[in-house]
Amino acid sequence: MTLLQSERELRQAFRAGQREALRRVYVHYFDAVLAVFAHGFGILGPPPRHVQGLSDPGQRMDGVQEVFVRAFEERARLAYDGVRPYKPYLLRIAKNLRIDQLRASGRQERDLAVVFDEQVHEVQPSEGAPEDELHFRTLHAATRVFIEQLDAESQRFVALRFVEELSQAEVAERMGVTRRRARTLETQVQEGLARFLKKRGLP
Amino acid sequence: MEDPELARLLSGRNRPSVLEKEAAFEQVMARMPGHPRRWLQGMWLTAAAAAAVVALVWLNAPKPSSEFGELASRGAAATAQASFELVCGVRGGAERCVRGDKLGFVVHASAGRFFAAFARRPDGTLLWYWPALTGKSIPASTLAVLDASSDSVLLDAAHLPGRYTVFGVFSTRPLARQEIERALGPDLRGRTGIDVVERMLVVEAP
Repeated sequence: MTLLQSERELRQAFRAGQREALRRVYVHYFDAVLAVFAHGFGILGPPPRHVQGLSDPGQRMDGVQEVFVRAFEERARLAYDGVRPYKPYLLRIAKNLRIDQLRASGRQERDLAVVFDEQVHEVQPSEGAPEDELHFRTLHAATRVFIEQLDAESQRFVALRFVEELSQAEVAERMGVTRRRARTLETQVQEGLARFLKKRGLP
Repeated sequence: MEDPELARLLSGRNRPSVLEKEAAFEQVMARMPGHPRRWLQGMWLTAAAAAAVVALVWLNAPKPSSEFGELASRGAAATAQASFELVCGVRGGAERCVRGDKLGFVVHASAGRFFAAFARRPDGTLLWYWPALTGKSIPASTLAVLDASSDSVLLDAAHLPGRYTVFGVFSTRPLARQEIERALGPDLRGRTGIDVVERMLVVEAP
């Protein structure tokens, strides 16, 4: 069961175009859609093909945005019945968009086309160069130390907001605090981490 | 260090964080036709609050929400290019079409574009969906919800199992079938003023 299949209320809100529902869907599927533009995808044959990803992060984001603009149009939302998994539909838009781009640029033979059973490369944990990844790991190790030193409330906030990627409103509801308190926690945690890293000479 | 970087570190993942996704989400919403912009929502809230204080009356005005409302900015950026997606009817939740299913078209095109569609069967036969035999291509904006039977195509007995290419033809004026065939030529490629978008369709036996 995927997000929209399992949560009836969310599905109804999504079909109605309610902002929070669209946000949840966007955040939930963002990585999968980005992976199509970042890493490309394979198409089962015959003959099997690989469609290249985009190297420019800006172009990747443009692709992601275009997919969600199309998927969030009213007619597209209403066309989703909630029975089938939503992710393949989103990824199909992404793959078709990528193929349309390649065709328009003349860099791809014409018979390339997506069918419904293609394989998509999963998003990789890191998209950066090796040195960037090393830098991130160094900073993240320090960040873990910082998080361990936080009080229980702040630790829970970090888990809900940054790891589970809930909205501020959802986090506030889950924690039983006001929205303002959630905003304050977000600011405090980020500022605290910036100070913590700076103190240790980590840029 | 910028907030997005801090957020990535807090998430433990070196990829777009929830803050970056939310910022990008706002951009998507700004492109949605009829969606109120954030600053407009803020102005509306401020105005409503001020009016409430001054007049001490209850304002029955709708609060800005994600619903399409009176404050919606009309005609926000249209999609960059004409396109369409196929949606198969539900048979066992599969993503393939089964003969007897309805085939829906979700069309993305700016106002003033006209849409025609046909499929090329594996044996090369063309199966026309729009326009009708004596009609002309239809305004793209009037299409296409799967459940609306008038906008869906029944994959009838002519749809033998196999791989099809479905052609969506976008033009700036209504065209009859013969005009479309003439314009596309034997290779079925787009010409000036006509955009052709192709989608693959797999039809299976029931």
